[in-house]
Order: sequence, then structure tokens, then C-alpha cells
Amino acid sequence: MSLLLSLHLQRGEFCLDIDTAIPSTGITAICGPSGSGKTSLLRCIAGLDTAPSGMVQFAGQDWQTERSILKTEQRGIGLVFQDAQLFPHLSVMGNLDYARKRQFKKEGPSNEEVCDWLQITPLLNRRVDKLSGGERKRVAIARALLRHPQLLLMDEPLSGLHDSAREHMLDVLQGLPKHLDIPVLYVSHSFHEISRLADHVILIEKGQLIAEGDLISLSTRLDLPLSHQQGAGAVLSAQLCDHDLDYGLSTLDVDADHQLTVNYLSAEPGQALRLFVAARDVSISLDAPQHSSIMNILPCTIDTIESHSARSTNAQLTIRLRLNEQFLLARITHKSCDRLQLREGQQVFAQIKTVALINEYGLAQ
Amino acid sequence: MSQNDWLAIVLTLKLAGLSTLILLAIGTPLAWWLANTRIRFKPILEATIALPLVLPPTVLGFYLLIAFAPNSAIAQLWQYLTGDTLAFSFSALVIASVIYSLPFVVQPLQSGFQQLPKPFLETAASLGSGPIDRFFSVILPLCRSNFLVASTLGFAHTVGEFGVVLMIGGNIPGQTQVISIALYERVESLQYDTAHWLAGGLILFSLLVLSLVYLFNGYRGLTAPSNNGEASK
Repeated sequence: MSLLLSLHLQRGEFCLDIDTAIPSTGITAICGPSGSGKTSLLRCIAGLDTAPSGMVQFAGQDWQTERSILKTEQRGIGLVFQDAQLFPHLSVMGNLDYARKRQFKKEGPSNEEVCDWLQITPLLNRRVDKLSGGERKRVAIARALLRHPQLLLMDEPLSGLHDSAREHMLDVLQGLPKHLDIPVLYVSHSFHEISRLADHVILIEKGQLIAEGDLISLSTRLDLPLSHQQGAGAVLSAQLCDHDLDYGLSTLDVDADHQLTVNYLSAEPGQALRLFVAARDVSISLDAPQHSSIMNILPCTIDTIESHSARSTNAQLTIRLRLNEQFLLARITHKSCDRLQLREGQQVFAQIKTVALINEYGLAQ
Repeated sequence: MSQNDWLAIVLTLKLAGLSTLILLAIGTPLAWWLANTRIRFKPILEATIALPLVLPPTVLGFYLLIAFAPNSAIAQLWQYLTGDTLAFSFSALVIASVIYSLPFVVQPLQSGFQQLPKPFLETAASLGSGPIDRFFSVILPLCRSNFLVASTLGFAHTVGEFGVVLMIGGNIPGQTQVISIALYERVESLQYDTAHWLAGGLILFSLLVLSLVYLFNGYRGLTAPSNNGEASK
């Protein structure tokens, strides 16, 4: 059960050409620079645009074939637009009721539950033009959820929010997967958002699919743009191992051979966690430093060294380091790379300055 | 005021009410289509609908008179279908009013539909709302003021119609004699006191209706000429 796509759309200079299957669980991010066709792709899936030759199939049901097209209203989707699109002639409650009266699936979260998740209960009697940007977006998401859709589509739902509202929304969105058992497609160009929310990633550029896979492997691939973004880094999945209450620390298992020590986390041992290690917080050493204040020093293998970074314009390059199944990124200078004579396949030690906890839900596999 | 004056008032209201209903029924889908179509001869269609705005009513009346003449195809078809003659009948007045007032209904609606943000309709569709549901749950409430303006202008313009009725309706009390014609006849026969009642009454009525519209509508969109300008762009 998943979403199968084969879409070919020509619009002037722009050509969308996507063939893929999107997993039936978790959040799949559609990621790419603006103008890459993310929104066009989402609109084709929603049935708002039609690729003249194409196929869309969801959970074995034909949404678009060569001969027939299922209308948007019959696809059972929830759609959240960039700018919320709340109906101005209805109150917040009226907007939610609009979806509730047209539910796709009988079973699903109740009005109270959805309002609670999105923290909009105090807003119910407001007029929609009296809401802040973040509030509008939360109401729009609640409305889409109350439709009880079988697929949730979100088009840059955090665009236009200032930083604190965006972080709040990310917290809210991160909590959603544990409540929902439907696939979510999340369009965004922000690596920050994707690293916090997505399980799977589809990267598109100029209308073409350039890579797809789970976030952990794609975030560290040096041939893809994610690893070159400002603030790039590795997403890791780990399990809480133990607490050290004397020092206020927690230890995490990355895999059988690698452990990380971080500030105390209020989680149970065994709980899956998602971590983020920024490339600029990782340095490389040829032997294990004995007298370092850095706690997290992991043995690893150099997987790839970025080859095509011009020294004259950029003093730094990115190196991909292999733990067992997962990867780290390290951003070091060309000079250090030459001095240490680093080469692919070499055994080194990664010194990690900071580990950030992304969320407490792990990654859907 | 004589019985004929009262007959003229009732007839006028009946004609305007019926015409407005027909105009909304025809004008709504027509305006929706015009607002969304991309066919090449759209400007010609829009110009055709707008013709009654610029032509002297007598021109339209002249051609309708010919079209409704007993030996014309239209009149014969009408007689075949209904068993009545078309010339100098109330039905002929309704048909003429609908044609004559069409731009006053289509243009405000078309301009409303054109300004309606598409994403609202797309959102409604994504929430499971089909085309008819969308019309009543999104389009109608969001274009409420345009419908109010369209109905009022359609109604008021039919009440104020003179030239076309004079050409095709004749002057049969209770059948085709509307207020404007009755007024003309009273003036011709120098019955100025009755004429005052009819003329003053029309002024008061029009002022009342338009004030109510301005009151409910704020002020947006009622000025037909500027709306026309936008709609025919």
C-alpha cells in the first residue's frame, strides 16, 4: 500500500518528470529549490493539476490513469496550502465544521483531540481574520485532519512564519505522527524542517527526481545538495542506553560499536531517538585523543571526501564518515585534509562537539 | 390613482421579479463560464451581452418587435409550444427584459467570480466538496455582495425600462402597461396629479432599494459602470 506516481508535465520551459513510489507510512518530504516543481508535483497528486500523460495510484486505487481521472474531492486527501486558505466567511469553528461534515473516513480523531494536538481550542470562536500567521496555519492543519483523510499533503506549511512561530509549529508537527497512521507528504525547501520531520526524502531539481531514500542516508550523501546546505549535518537514529545521574548525562547507542554521551534526556532506556550532528561540529583526528575535553570521540572510516570543492573560493570541504550503518559529516579545511593526508577507506576518529536531539520518535522504517 | 395605475404597479413588480429570477438562473452560469473560459471570441461575447448598455432601447425594441411578429419563426414556435401569441403579451415583455437587463446581472457576477481566489475552491474540493456543494458553500457566500448587486440592478433596471416596452409591449392595462408607460400616457393626456404619484413613487422606491443595498453592501462594487469596466477587461 503506497502512492505510485508516474507524472510527465510540460509547461513552457519547465518539465516535470517523476516516477516514484512513496511509502505508506511516516512523513515523506519532497525537497528541492524553489521552482523545482515540488508544488506542481503535489498539485498533480491532489488532482488540482493534471499531467496529460501520467499515472497516480494510491493504495491500489486509481487516481489517474490514461483514461480516467478521479476528482480532487473524491481522493480523500487532506491538503494544507502555503497560506492556510481559511474560508473568510466562516469562523474557526465553521472552518473545522466544513471538513467534519465532509469526512472521508468514518473513524479518525475527534474534534477535541485535533484541537488539543494543534493547540487551537481557545481560538474556536474567533473570526479567521483575527488570527496570527501561526494560528491560521494550525487551524488549516486541524481542518485537513478533521476531514479524516487517507493521505495528508502539506505545501510549505511553515513558510512566512517568523522563527519562534516556526519552531513552535515544528514542535506541534513533530508530535503528529504518533497520533496519525496515514502517510504525509511534506513539501519544503528547508533542510532544518526536513531533518526534524521527515522519515523519507524525495529530492527534486528542475522537475527531475535526483534521489530518494531515508533521511539518514540522504542527509550525508556528498553528491546531493542536502550535505552542502548552510548548517548541513548528519541525522542519526539512536536508542537511549542509560542515564548517569551523578553527572546529569545520558548515554545513547548509535549502533553496537558506537555510543554517544549527551546532556540528560528525560526518556526511558530503549527509547528510539533522532539526533542531529552538524558537520561543522565534527573534527577528525588520526588517533584517539587521550587528553581532550570532548566526550564523544567515535572510531570511524572515511567513506567519501568531497572532490569538487574549489580551494580558491572555499577553504573548507566536507567528509563523510561511516559508523556501522550510519554516517557522520565533518567539515574541515583543505589545509587540514592535506596535512593529515586523509584518504577514503582510512580509519580515523571523529570528535563531536555537540549532539542535538531532534525528537523522541525515532524514524519510521 | 385609478385601478389601471394600481394594475401597472403590480404588473411592473411582477415583471421585474420574474425577470430577476430568470436573469439569476441564466446569468450565474453564464457569468461563471465567462469568468473562467479562455476561448478566443470571449470579447465578442462580452460585447454582445453589454450591447444594451450602449444602444438606445428602441434599437433592441425594433428587432424584438420583428422577432416577435406573428409570422416570425420565434413567434410561431412560441405559439406551437404554448398556444399563445407572443406579440404584445406579458411573456414578450419578460423575454425582452431578460435580454435588456442581462449585462446588469452578468457583469457584477462575472467580476465577483473573477476576483474569487481559486485556492478557496481548491481547498473546498480537497475537503470533499463537489461542484454544486462548492457553489452553495463557498462561491455564494463569498460573492454574496455581487449577487445582491446583480439582483438589485437587474430588478431596478427592469422597473425603469421604457423604450423596449414601448416598442414591443404596447399599452394594454393589466397585461403590458407597466409604470413607465402608464406615466407617459398620463402625461400625454395631461393627468399631472396621477403622473406625480407614479413618478414620485418610482423615485422613492428606487432610492429606498439602492439605499438598502448600499447599507448592506458597504459600498463595494455597486457602481455598475466601474464594475463593467473591470469585467470587460
